[in-house]
Amino acid sequence: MRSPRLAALELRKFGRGALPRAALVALLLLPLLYGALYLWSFWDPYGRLDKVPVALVNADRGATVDGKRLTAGDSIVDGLRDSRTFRWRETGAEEARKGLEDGTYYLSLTIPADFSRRIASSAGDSPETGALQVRTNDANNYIVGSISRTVFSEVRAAASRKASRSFYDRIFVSFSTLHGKTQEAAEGADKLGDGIGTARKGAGDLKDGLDKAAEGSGRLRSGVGELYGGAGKLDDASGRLADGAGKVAAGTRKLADRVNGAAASPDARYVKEHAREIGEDARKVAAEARTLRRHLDDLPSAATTAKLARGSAAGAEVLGDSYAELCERAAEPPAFCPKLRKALFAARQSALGARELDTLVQNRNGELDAFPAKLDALRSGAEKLRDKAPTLASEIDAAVRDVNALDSGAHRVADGAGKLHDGAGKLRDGLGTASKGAAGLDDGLGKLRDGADRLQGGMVKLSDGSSKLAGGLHDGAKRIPDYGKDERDARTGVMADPVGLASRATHKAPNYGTGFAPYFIPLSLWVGAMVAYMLFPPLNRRALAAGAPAWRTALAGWLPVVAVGVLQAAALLAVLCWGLGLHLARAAGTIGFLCLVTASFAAIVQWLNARFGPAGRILVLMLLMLQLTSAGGTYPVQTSPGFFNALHPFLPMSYVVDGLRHLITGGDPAAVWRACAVLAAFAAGALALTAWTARRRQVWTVRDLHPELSL
Amino acid sequence: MDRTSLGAAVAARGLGVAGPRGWTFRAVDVAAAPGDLVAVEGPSGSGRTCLLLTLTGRMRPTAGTAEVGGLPLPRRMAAVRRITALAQIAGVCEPEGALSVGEHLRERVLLCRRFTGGPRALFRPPAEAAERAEAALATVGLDPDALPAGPRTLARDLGRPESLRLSLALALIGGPRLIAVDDADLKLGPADRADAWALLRSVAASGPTVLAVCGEAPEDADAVVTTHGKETADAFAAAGRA
Repeated sequence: MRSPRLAALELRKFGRGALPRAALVALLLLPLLYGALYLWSFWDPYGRLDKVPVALVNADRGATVDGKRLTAGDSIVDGLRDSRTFRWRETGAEEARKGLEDGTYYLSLTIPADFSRRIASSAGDSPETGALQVRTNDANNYIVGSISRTVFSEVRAAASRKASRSFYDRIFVSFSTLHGKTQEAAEGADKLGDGIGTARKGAGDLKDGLDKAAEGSGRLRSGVGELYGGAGKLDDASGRLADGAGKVAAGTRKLADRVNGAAASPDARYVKEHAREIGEDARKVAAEARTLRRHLDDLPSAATTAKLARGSAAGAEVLGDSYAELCERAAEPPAFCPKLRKALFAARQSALGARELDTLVQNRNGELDAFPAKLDALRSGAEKLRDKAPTLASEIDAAVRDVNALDSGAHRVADGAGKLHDGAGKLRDGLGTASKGAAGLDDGLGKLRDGADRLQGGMVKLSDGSSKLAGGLHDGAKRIPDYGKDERDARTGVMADPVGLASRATHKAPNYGTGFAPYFIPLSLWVGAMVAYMLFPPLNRRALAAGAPAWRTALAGWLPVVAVGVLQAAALLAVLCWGLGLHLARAAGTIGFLCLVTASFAAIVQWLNARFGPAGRILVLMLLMLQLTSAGGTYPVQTSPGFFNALHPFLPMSYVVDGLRHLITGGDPAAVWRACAVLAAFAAGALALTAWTARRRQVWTVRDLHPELSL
Repeated sequence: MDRTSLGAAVAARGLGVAGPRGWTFRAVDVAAAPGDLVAVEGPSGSGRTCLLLTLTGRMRPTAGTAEVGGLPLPRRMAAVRRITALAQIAGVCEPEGALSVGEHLRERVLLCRRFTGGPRALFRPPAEAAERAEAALATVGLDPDALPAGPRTLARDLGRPESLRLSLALALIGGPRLIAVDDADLKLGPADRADAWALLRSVAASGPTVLAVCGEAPEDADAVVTTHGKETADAFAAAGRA
């Protein structure tokens, strides 16, 4: 290991004399000028924006909304003053303009006179956007202009958020009212549904009642019809009875006249002579009496008329009940009531007629009952007369008495039959009216039942419809939001600012200085190596003259500068960490990495100096500028023109910046390893080139001895 | 051993080196036996230094032929460099003023090739380097302990004669067969000049051939090579053409 000892001898030169020592110290501290001094001045400019004087003009006149005073401008001013983004100076518009022009203020923010009015208009008929006015002057400072855009986009967003929150809050309150009213409507629809249900049940009952009534009236109608038919037969029979009885009476009259005449005339011969005629007449009478008897049997029986009377009375009663229930007890009598009333009247009439008929048939004071017996007696008398006609003459006297008795009896029968016939006629007429009434009643009840049927159908639809209405209103009420105050606050907060920006920087650099340290550290180390090779010879002349091995010569020229560079890096890092407060995510890694950077930079600078002599220093400076512009230390290299992008991957500082960023702020160490590999390759390559140069420079040229240029 | 190896014979004919501004020297003939003290004479700027560098394999000749220790130039320049050494040559090889005498010696030892002299050198004990330094100092008659600050005396504090001795000692450490010395008599009084020549003679006597540049060649030089300035060389060339 001879090279380190040679390097130590090289360094020892600087221990001799005050000036070399001072030079060495200056060399060690030189990177501080480039790294620490610059970073110090820009360590945290964004944290000190509150030292930047800016003008704030609040011309807002305020506005009145719903009786409340709105001064949006004042609240913005308060917010800005609290936020300490800039040093706000409240001034007038003219002063602000002048101050911005002459550089007193870096920018001015103006809240216009109608700002509150415009904010308030968001809830009115013609909404307008409220506009804040920012003026900057790039002649004062360009950066402030771009910073202010960021700051004011925040201010604008906050003001917008506040304005829209109150707007949304009002909307939600309206929603709550709407919700309440819809709820009430839904409850009303529920009650309506209940009432319609009751009505529907009533309509059902009505229909059932009408069904029964119609059934009764049907029966009544057929009963009355039968009654009418019976009455017709009765009339006919009683007519024929009356005729017969009349004829009987006339016969008996003739008989009595003759008997009386015969009896009155003493001409018994006459009786004798006419005994056959008498017998003939008696036979006729007997025949007529038999016929009459037969007719009498045709009269309706008392049981039939009684049944008829009962049936019609029951029909009238049922109808009467229905009428009472539907018309009299109902609050609002249906339209068919008058008809029903007429039908009821007719039913009652027919019931009355039926009862009269019944009463008539039931014996009519026993006369009718005795009638057949009398007829039988008449016939048997006539037959006796017929039989006894031959002996009539002898029995004339008795016969005259009998005949007179018969005559008077026959007359009384004829009278009774006549009265019966009259009664039957009246009964028939009455029953005819009753039958028509019962038919009308039945038709009316049929219509009434159809109506009740339709009424029930309508009620079912009504009930369905009302339940749907109630359901729909309930659903609607559920869907209309009804928020309490807390919920409203939460929702208006989200709606006023629906898109949050979750900006989370991984491996965040706490300030500008930390962010740019990875750029300035390699810069200062490069400059350090560059100046170091102004003091140290890149290749030892005595070594070249002695023909020492080229590798050893190269290393002997490289190692002292690496040693100086490590000390430079240590001094720089110490000042950055303890002086400026730079925080290293990976301290040990950073130190090791900077040693490698120093070694690599020293090798490159050494080769350029060794190979190109004085011109090499200019090349070193050029290479520095190319690296600074293409390393992407400030803006991303992609924002630079293509030339720098093309250069970027071929220069070591690009990798140094990348690696240092990951060491200082933390992150994926892959970039660091890549940078290490690149730097090691650059160092090895540069050393190999230097060794080759050292070998070449063992042979001098005339130009070496008499250089045309010296720096 | 290298120390006892014979000096290198030097033979050159029509040697010339051209620089960017024409010939530095031209048409130089040298003929020296091993162990000779060769004086290179000529005015300053007549290409004397370039001739030394050329003959030690450290500058490529433009014209002519040369042979050093049997090695042809420029074909075997690297080999010639190994058997030759430069003592003081301005602008090429001078003691560093800020380093002490002891440090110079140490540095020179460190600069020696490790594996010169064949496989035997591999087994040479390390201490021998120091021994060689001692021997070299003895040859040039320089006793570091006798200096004002001993071995720590800085080179810049040395007088001209001591500086020459130191340069020669440093050159001898490599065990060369040819030593080139520039400006051997520069800024020396007549007495010191005589001492210098005596020193060079003794070095030559110890083995290596010595090439010494001087303004004026001493009488006892084994060979004298004269270089002429550029104009002379040009005149020469013109004469030759004529």
